[in-house]
Amino acid sequence: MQGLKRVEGFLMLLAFFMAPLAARADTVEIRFSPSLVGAADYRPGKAGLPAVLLLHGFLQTRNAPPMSRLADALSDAGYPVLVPTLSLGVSRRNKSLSCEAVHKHTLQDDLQEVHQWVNWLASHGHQRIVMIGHSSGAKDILAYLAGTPNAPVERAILVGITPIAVDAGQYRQAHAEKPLAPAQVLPLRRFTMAYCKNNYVATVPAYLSYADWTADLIVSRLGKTRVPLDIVFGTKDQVAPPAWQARLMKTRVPVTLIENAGHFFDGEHEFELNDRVGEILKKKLH
Amino acid sequence: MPFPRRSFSPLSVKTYGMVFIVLVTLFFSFTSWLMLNKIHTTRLEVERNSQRAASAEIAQALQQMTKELEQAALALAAWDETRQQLSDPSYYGYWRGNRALLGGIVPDYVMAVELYNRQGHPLGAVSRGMPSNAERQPHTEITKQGGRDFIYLTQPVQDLEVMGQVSGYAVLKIDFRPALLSVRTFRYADAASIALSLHEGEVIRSGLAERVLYSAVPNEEMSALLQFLTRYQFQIAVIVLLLSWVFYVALSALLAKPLLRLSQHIDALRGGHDGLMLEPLGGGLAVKELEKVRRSLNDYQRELESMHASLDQKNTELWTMAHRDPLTGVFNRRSFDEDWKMLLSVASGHRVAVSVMLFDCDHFKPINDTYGHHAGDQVLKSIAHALQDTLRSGDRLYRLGGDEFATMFLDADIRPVEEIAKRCVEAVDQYDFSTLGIKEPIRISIGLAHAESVHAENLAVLQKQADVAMYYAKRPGHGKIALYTEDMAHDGNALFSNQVTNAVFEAISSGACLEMHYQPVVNLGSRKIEYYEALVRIRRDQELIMPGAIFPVVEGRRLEAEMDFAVMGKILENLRDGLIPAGSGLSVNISGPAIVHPRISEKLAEFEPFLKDYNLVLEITETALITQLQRASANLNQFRATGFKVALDDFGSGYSSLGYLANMPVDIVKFDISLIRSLEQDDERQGGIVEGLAMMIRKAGYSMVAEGLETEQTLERAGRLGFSHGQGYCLGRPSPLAG
Repeated sequence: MQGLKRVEGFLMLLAFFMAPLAARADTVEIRFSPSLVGAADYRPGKAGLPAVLLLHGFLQTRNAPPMSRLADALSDAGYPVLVPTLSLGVSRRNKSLSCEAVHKHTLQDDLQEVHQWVNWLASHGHQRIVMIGHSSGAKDILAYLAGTPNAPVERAILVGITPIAVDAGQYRQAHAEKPLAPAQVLPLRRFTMAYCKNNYVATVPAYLSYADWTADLIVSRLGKTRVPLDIVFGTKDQVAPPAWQARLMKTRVPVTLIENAGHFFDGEHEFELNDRVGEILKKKLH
Repeated sequence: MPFPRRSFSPLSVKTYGMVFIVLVTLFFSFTSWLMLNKIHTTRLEVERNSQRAASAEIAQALQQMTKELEQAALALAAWDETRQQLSDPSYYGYWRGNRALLGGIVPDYVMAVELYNRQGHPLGAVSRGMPSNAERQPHTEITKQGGRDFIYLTQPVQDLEVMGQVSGYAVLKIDFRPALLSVRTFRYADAASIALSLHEGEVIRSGLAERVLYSAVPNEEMSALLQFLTRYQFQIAVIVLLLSWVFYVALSALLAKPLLRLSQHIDALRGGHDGLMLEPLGGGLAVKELEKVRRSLNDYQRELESMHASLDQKNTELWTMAHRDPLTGVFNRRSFDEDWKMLLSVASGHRVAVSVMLFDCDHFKPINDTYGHHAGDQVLKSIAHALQDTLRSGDRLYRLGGDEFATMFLDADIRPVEEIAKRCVEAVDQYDFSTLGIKEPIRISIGLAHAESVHAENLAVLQKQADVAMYYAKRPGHGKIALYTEDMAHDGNALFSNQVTNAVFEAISSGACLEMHYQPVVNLGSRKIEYYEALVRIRRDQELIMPGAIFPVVEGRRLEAEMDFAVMGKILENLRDGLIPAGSGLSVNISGPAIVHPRISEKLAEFEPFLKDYNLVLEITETALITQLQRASANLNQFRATGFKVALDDFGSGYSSLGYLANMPVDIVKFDISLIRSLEQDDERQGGIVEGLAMMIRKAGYSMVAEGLETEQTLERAGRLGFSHGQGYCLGRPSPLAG
């Protein structure tokens, strides 16, 4: 145990000194529409290693931990890394979108962007692609893999996957108000979603595209993807609903628990997350 | 060394206090003026500094606000949501109303944000007051709308798709005043006064700083400090005035009043108020130095009073010494003279009765010589004591000198005075002098003089008259008390005239004017003259001075022996001249003092050659004056052995008594004339006594001589009584003998 901690310390020191190397990433863009451009950081890795696409969580950017740190670690380990930022309707978005901003984007928009980034990796010579998502990003990957059976993805690691928290009443009301036909301009509503407490400003369809991915839906999809999955979960995850860890453990997806780690794997748990993901990749891809 | 003369009058303590207060007030006024002037200058300087600081502060705030606005505009232009709205303004209204101002991109003082597309058209309906179209270049406009100053900042939004292209414009509306106030807290410029110098609707694009109106914030601390200093000055002025008043009151209470009391006290002391002790000065707030002065003054006063008391005592002692006789304690001669002058001055012009009483101790000198001066002094004290006890209360007794005392009576009749004189004589007679070891009787004689007159000259002679009376009183037969009468005037005049005195002295010294008269002493049986008694006279200017005038002078000056020796010389001269018939005898009077005189033997030796031809008898007179009886007796025995006979003269008078007869070697006893005259008065009792005495003396073997025989009848009776010899006018008057 003492020796393990010493190794962890060495890795932390190494990551600190290697950070400047990780910063030398190339920004790559994809024009999703004439007025919407998506951006991602791409760092080529060693030949032969699978490329890793890392997807951030709810309303975040590619610079948000723990995916940004994990991307650095994997890039350092030689893996080609692509870390996109979901545009959420904002061209070249580089800041997290606030709850009060206009949320016109939908989960389908996000999955389309993810798909294009997977294709971008494939088009850039990466035959082996591994997807890693955190929180809402993990859910997006799950939804993507569940909805895209032929996706050129070898494996996916779902870090801290959890259903997005919504207000049950709002959710029911939203379903009741859900327009049957698409309208040009839908009115904006305020919803509770994830950490946005009754200030998530969105149209009903946009809201429901995310809210419909309930816990049951997630659990039901976990065992039905073609791509093998791994789950890494912190035993002290406060964002997940009660007994969520236990439900995950009951699925057929292997779950790697990181003791005492929270939803965002803060502090020393960030390095443990990196180690565990590295171990999974090394163990299950080589 | 004289004190330097002062050129100014001394001022009071209060005046000095007032001068001090005025000086302090002037000094304080001057310093206050300086301080107030400095305060005013400082206030102006502070105001200038405040104005400069406010100007700098406004400029800095403007710069800061401008920078902050530019940054806000840039941030807004770069904001994802701004670009989101420019690409999809579906929900622009929501965004402008909620996100543009509340998204945390622009400061709170931004009142409105409006987005315009690259053609300058608004993304939606423009807000009130915002431009309907954006001017497609970055610029700033400042205008006044509705009385408020607004800044309109137009910021282009860069197109990220095409470098160098603009995707739209953001216009920010800013309320100038809140914006400026938000950038900093104004310390020097008054925030409430900040405004822009713009007319309603006026638009400017530059020169904002020149349009800013403001006023400097008064420096509260400095104003408070200056106000405090000004108030402090007035408080100090009040305090100085109060302190000056307290100082003046304290000066008055602690110094001026005590000093005034001190001065009044010294004036009172100077005015002769003895016994004054100065009470503590200043009450409970005494000044140490003044208290020391007070104590020193009181000590000095006490010492002065003590010295005065001592001086009074000394003066009393001195007066007593000057007016009291140190031996007897009675008043002295000086006191008598002063009282006499006082009496004369008091009596002058009034008819008053004045009596003078002189006392003289009989034969005091022999007593003094016999028993010593100490005994003599005790006799004088005893006499003074007896007299003082006898005199009435208030009567003053004076010792005029030697054994002579006196007193005087004012406004008193002579009869009571005579009664007092008698009591005085009796008091001395009854006094027991034997306790002093004195055997002889001591008696006094009193001379009285009385007058009632308004003329001072009549009173002035009273002393002399009393003196004359005194000597009359001393003479046998006057009962020791004599009141001056006009009859004594002649004798008195003779006695005490200078001519008599001079004659007596001349007779004693030279014997030139002595003239001896001889009275025959006759054998009563044969009626023949057996011898003569030599009686002295003094001839002066054809006038013959009789023994009655001579012997008072002699006795008064205690010249008995000298007079006797002079007489003896004259008798010797007569003997040598042969004036005395041969075969007869001669009786020479020798006084008591002369008997014991050292030269008596020498003098009598000169008579020895005549003893073979003359029967020489030594008549001892005034035996009472013989103080040395043994020596006298020895001398007489010696003279008798030589051939002289001794006769006791004046037997029966006060001067010769049986006591002397028994102790003295006497051959002849001469009965005093007073005894012989009693035979003439047919006084059987007194005659019987004389007869008894004569018989007794005759039987004792003495020869007896009767003096004063003036009638034949007396002469015969003396013969019958056994007197062998007689002497008197009927037998022969004293007269000079012719050779």
